[in-house]
Amino acid sequence: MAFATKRLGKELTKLHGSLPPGIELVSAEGFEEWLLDIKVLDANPLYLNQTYRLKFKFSPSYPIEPPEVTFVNTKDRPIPMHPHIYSNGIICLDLLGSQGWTPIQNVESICMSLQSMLTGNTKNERPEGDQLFVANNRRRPRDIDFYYHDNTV
Amino acid sequence: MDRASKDDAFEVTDSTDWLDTPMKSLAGVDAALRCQVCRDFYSTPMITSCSHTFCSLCIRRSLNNDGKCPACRSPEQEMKLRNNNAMEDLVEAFKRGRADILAFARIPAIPVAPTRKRSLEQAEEDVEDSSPKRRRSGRTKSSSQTKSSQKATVVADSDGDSDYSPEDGTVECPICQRRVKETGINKHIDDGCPDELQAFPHITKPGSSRTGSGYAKSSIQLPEKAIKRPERLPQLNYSTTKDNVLKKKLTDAGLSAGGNRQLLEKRYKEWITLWNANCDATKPKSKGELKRELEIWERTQGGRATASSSTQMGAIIRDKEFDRDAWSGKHNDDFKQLIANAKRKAQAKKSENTSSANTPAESAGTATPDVAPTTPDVVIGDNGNDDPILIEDTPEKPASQKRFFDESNSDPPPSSQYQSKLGVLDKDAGLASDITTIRSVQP
Ligand SMILES: [Zn+2]
Ligand SMILES: [Zn+2]
Ligand SMILES: [Zn+2]
Repeated sequence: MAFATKRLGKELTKLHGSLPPGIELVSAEGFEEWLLDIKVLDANPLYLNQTYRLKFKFSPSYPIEPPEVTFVNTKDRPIPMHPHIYSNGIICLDLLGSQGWTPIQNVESICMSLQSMLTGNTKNERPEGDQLFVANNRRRPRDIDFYYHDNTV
Repeated sequence: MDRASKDDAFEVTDSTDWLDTPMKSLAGVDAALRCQVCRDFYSTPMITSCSHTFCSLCIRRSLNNDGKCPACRSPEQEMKLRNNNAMEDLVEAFKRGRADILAFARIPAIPVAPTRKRSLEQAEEDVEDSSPKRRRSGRTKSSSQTKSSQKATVVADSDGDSDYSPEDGTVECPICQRRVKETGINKHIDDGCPDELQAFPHITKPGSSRTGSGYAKSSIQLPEKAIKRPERLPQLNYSTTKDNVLKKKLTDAGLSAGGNRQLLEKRYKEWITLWNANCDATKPKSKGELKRELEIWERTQGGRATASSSTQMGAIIRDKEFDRDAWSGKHNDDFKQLIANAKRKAQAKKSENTSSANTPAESAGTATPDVAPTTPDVVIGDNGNDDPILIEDTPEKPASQKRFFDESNSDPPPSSQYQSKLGVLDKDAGLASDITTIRSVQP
């Protein structure tokens, strides 16, 4: 069995068994794409009573290479407002780039990082140049060279 | 996949298996014996210079990718990796006992339960003394007693217990210093301290040897130094390696030299990784087996490689061991199986099955696009040769017969033709480099 498949199978077993609060597995129908819902646990007014949907796409080189993780917009799942999250759902987080990624990260730890990224945010804004980026970008997130100037945001 | 894990390929074991048993603390032991990259028990564990341990294959792949330790991000080089033999022994010993211990732990707790699986004699001992140490050595005994090859029962004790003299019916053998059942000591000495450690007179402490405690292997193993390990392959500097040199390296190794430059590099890199990881292994695989692993790797990389060179990658193997139809569905089948197992385990844990909107196993009809076969014109580069790899393989067949992928299929030229369409997608083809960098906002 392929490397990625086996590892994802193990992660899935765990996800079916127990998940940290505020994280829910929506679907995992193959090794290419999983959907998970996350909620912000504290009372941050920006994200109160909201659920956000994450789409994970895995390459056969996972976990050596990071998965592609984006927020997806559905009827009741908006894209969270954050200075590092573009309105098309693309996330600028060093953890998800080839520089910040390490293979010991996993779906669960990514979800938790994103939860805390939202928890700590106070700015009700999009990244600079959001409209332009959303209008023009046709690359996949992992091919975008984000600069990670400040990860405390 | 290595031979050892073949049997339990779909058995997704996890450290959380222990949490619903009275032996919750074993979850920590279980987790500590697993590689953080693949989540499996360490396979040929290697320790880095920053003292982190990973499977040989996992750490080599990681280092190949970014040159950093996956755990602490310290820079690391493959040549600095060393075998973590103690970990390997520990993993092997734990794996052997795991299923039994887990089954035992899952037996509903009733007062007499512990005696069920033991001999009468040990049950009596338990009544007299049920301290943890006693129980542990009792367990060691009962497991080694199941090995029919064992003549007298040697009770392995851990290092910390060396000054501990249990009244458990064992005595220390004056010759080999191991604990032996008192009733069997005379025969033990008469027989010349018979057990698997006999070939190692310099090893006096049980548990400190490569053969490990409780490992009642009757055949005498060669001392490690006698194993002639195959030579590792050096990494290539791809920026200075010409196409024809790279192709020759591949053909010399008995691999396909078909495909575009990017594919050749990836193939050779993976070959070096597989090969060098195999060099670390206590029981190296045959070259044929490694080639099959490379083959599997190349198939499963399809999703990435097809973006730029679907025609090169589209080839499929025609070989008795790689049935084409089986393979095309294989990848997805693996996952379906894993999903089914994951669900089964999850349901077993939840006594009450809550509403599950997601039923992955039922929606399993989706095809895996990246392994779709296109041209079945290829002969696998393996002649069924399963010789141990330390025996030098003679360069076997002419290159044409050793190809994984037939070059004649490369009808439309590589990426250039698709540039307009795939530029957005394909970083690997080097197309993304000219795209303007996006800067995220500074707060
Ligand atoms: Zn591993
Ligand atoms: Zn480290
Ligand atoms: Zn002895």
